[in-house]
Amino acid sequence: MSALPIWQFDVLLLMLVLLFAVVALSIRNLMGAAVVFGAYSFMMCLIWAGMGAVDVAFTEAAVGAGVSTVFVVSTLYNTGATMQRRTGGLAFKLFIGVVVTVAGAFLLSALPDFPKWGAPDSPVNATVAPYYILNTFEDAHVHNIVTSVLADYRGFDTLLETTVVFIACIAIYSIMRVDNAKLETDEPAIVAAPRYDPSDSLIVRQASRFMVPFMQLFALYVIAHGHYSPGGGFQGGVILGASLILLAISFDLKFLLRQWSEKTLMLLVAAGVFLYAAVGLACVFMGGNYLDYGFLDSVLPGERDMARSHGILLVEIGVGITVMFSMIAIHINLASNGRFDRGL
Amino acid sequence: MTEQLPIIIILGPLLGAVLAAFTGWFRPRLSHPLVVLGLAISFAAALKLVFIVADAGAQKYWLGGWGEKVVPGQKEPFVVGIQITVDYLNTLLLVAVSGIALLTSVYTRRLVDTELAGRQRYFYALFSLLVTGLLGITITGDIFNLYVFMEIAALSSYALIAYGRGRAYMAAFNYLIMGTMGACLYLLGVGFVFAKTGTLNIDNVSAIIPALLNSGQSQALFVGFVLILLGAWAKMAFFPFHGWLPNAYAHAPTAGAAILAPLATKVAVYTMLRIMVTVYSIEYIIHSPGIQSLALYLSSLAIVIASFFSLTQTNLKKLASYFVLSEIGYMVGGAWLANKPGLTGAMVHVVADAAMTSALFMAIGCIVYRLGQAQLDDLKGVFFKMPVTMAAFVVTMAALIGVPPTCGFFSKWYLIQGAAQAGVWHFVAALLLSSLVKAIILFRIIEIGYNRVPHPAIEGNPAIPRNEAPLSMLIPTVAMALGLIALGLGTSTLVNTIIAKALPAALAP
Amino acid sequence: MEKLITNFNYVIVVILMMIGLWAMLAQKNLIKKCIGMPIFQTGIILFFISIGAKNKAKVPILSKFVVENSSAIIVNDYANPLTQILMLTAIVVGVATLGVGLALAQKIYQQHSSFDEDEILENQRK
Repeated sequence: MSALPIWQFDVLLLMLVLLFAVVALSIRNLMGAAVVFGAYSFMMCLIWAGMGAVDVAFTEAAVGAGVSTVFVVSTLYNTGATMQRRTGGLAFKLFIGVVVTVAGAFLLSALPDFPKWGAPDSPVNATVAPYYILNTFEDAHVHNIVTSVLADYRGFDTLLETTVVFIACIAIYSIMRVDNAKLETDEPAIVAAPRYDPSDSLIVRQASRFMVPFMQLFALYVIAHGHYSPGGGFQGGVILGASLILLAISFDLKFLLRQWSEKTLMLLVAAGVFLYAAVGLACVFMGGNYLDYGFLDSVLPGERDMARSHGILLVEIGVGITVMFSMIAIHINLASNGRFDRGL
Repeated sequence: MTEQLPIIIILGPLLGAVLAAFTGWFRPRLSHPLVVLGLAISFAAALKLVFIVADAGAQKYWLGGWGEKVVPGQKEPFVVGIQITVDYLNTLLLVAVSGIALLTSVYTRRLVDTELAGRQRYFYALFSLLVTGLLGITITGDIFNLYVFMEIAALSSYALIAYGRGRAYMAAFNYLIMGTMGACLYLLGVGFVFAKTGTLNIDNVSAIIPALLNSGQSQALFVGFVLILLGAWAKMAFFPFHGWLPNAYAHAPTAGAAILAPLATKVAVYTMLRIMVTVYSIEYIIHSPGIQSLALYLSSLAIVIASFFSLTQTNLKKLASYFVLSEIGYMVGGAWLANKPGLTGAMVHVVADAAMTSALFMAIGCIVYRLGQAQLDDLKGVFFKMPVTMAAFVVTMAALIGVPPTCGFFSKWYLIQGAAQAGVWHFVAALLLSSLVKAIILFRIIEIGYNRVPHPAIEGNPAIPRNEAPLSMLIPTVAMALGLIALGLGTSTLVNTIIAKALPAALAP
Repeated sequence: MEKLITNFNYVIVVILMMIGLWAMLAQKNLIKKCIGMPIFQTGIILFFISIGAKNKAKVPILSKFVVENSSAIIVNDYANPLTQILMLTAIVVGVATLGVGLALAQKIYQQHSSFDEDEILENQRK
C-alpha cells in the first residue's frame, strides 16, 4: 500500500502531474507553459513529500518550482517571444512518438521483475541504507539522516554537485556576458520594451521590502538547523538567492547590483566551492582521507562525532554560499541578457 | 603520501580551476599557470600510480574514510561511502587524459590569446573543470558518482563549445539536448541496477550481479544494462547518436576542440568498457547475442558512414571530427567482439586514439593559427611554409591509417585479429575501408600541400624561409606526434604488464 | 487493488519520462525542449524515490527520544535516506543544465530572432 495515508490522494496527484506535463508541452503560449511547468514541479514536490522524501520535496519546491520557473520566465520576458510558431513536421513527431512508445514498453517489461513496492526488505532498503539509519547519530551526532549521508558518508558527491552549480554559473556568465562598451555588431542587442514593470507598483515594492529580511532569516535557519530538521545548504542557499532575486524583480536590477557588485558575486561563487574543497584538504593534512572530518577533532571542539557534526556544518555553509550567489548571478545574466543593466 | 595519490589526481585540476576563477578577477595572467600547475600535479600522481598498480595491483581509496562496514542483516560487508579505484583498466587512461590535458593547456595559450581576446576570463577554469570531470569518470568506483562527474564534464564542454559564437550556439544547444538525454538514460539504468542490487559501489555490484543472474535472466538488470549502454553511446556519439559531434567540434574554438575531441568520447568508451567488463562481467555479454550482433553491425555502419562523409568534407576541423566518429566505431566494435584480441584492441585503442586525435587537432590548430581558418583548398604550399607541423601531421595520419610502428597499427592489428577470430567479416571490411579512405585523404592533402604556389597568408616575410607556428604550439604538437611512435613501440610492454591483467579471466582466447 | 496502485505508480512514471523524452527530441521550439528536459528528469527522480519508499515509514529524521536510547532505532520505521540523497544531487544537476540551456537559447534568439528550430536552420543556410 502507498506510504501515504490515503491512496486516493496519491492517485490524484499522479494524474494531475501527468496532466500538467502534457499541458505544459502542448500549450502554445510560452509564458503559460512556464507557469504550468511551475505547477507541475509543485505537484511533484507534493508527491515526494507524501512518500517521505521531505528534503527532496523541499529542494524541488525551492529549486524546481521556484528558481527554474523564474529562469524560464526571465528568458521569455527578455526576448519577448511568447507564442510558439505553429509548425508542421508531423511525420518526424510521429516517428519519435513511435520510438518513445517502444522505449516505454521496453521499460515496462521490467515491471514484474521488480521487488514489491514499499517492501522494507527489498535490496534498496536492506543492503546499505540500514547502516546509515542505525549509525548516523553515533558517527556524526546528527538527527537528520539525509544531511549526514549527504555531507559525510557521500560528501564527495555533494562537493561535485556544488562544483556543478559553480560550473553552471561561470558557463552562463561566459556565454552571456557582454561588455556594454563594446557591443559587437554581429550580435544586435535585444530591445524588448517591457510591457509591465513590477517596480511601478507600490504594493510590490513595500511587500517585498518586508518579506526579504524574513526570508533571509528563515534561510539561515534552514542552513543551520539542517542537522535536526529538513534543510541544509542547498535549500537555504536557494532561499537566500531567491530573496535577492525578489529584490531585483520588485525594484530594479541596478538596485541589486549596487548592493552586490558583479565582481563580489562571482568571487563568492568560487569561495563556497573553495571552502568545501579546503575542509576536505585540511582533513588530509591532519592525517585522514579526503573529507574524513573525524580527523579534524584536534582543531574543532569536541570528540570525533562532534568534529564530524561541525565539519558537516562547515561544508553546508560552503554549499549555501555557492548556491546563493550562483542563483543570483544566473538570474542577472538571464534577465538582463548579459548586459547587467536592466531586466526583469 | 602514496595512499593519497588517487585523490590528488582529482584535486589538482579542481583546485586549479577554482583558483583560476579567483585570479581571473585580480590577475588574469595567473589563471593559465595555475591551471597548468594543477594539471602537472595530476599527471605526476597518475604516472606514479601506473607503476604502483603494475607492481601491487588495484589501489582503492575511500573518501571520508568510509570503507567496508558490516550492515545488520547482510552476510558480507558493504562499502558505505564513495570509493575511487585505480586498477589495470583505468590507470593507463588516467595517465593519457592528464598528460594530454597538460600538453594541450600549454599548447592552447596562443590560441586563446588570439581567438578569444577579451573573453578569456573563465576559459582556463572551464578547461580545468572539464579535465576534472573526465579524470573523475575514469577513476571513480561508484556508479552514481560517475553520473555527477559526467555532468561536470558535460556542462564544461557546452560552455567551451559556446565560446565559438556564431553557429556554435546552436551546435552547443543540440549537444546539450543529446548529452542530457544520454546522461538521464544512464541515470535511469543506474536506477534499475540499484533497485535490484541495493548498492552503488562497483565492486559490490559486480559481486552481487552473478548471483542474481544465476537464478535466471533478470529483465530489470537487462533493461538497466541497455539503458546504461544507450547513455554511454549517446555521450560518445556512436551511430545513430552521432548527429551532434561534427557541428560541435567544428564550430568550437580551436582551443576548445583540442581538449574536447581527444578525450570526451574516449572517456565515454571507457564508461561502456567498465560497465561491460567489471560491473556486468563478460559472460553476460557473450550470453546476449542479440545485442552483440546489433552492436557489431552498428559499429561497422558507424565506420563506413563516417569514412564516406569524411571524403566530402572541405573543412579540416569537420574532417577531423568525422575521423573521430569512425574511431569510435573501432572501439565499440572491438569491445563487443568479446574475445581477447578484440578487447585488448579496444583498450589499447582508447589510449592510442586519444593520442592520435590530440596530435591531429594540435596540427590543425597550428595551421588555423597561421591561416585564420582551415579549408582544404587553402593548404596550397603548406608543406614548404610549415614543414615541421606538416611532418607531425603526416605522422598522425599514418598512425590513423595504421602504418607500423605507430600505435595505430598495433591497435588495428588486434582488432582485425579479434574480428577474424570471431568470424565478423563485415567489421574487418569496415576497418580496412576506413584505412583506405584515410590514405586517400592524406594523399589529397599531400598533393594540395606540395603545390608550388604557396598561399599568401602563410607567405610571411620573404627573408624568413618559414612561417611556422609559435614554439609553444609547435613543441607539444611534435611531442605528441613522436609520442605516437613511442606508444606504438611500447605497445607490447603495456599490453603484457597492464592491459592483459585487466581482461577478465573467463574470456575466450 | 493494491497491485493496481503500486503498478499504477510505475506506469505513470514511465509515461511521464517518455513524454519528457519525446518533447526533448521532437519539439521544434527551443523553450519547449528546455521544458521537456526537467520533465524527463523529474520522472526519473520520481522513479528513484518510488523504489526507495517504505510502507508506513516516517521521514528519516531521528527524534530526540530515539536518539537518547539508541537501541530503540527501528530501521523499518524510517524512509530510505540513500535514494533521497541521490535525488537531491539529480535535482540540482537538472536545474544547472536547464540554466545553461536557457542561456544558449537566449543567445540563439539574439542571432536569429526565433526560437523555432526550422526557422533557425533556414536562417543559418543563408
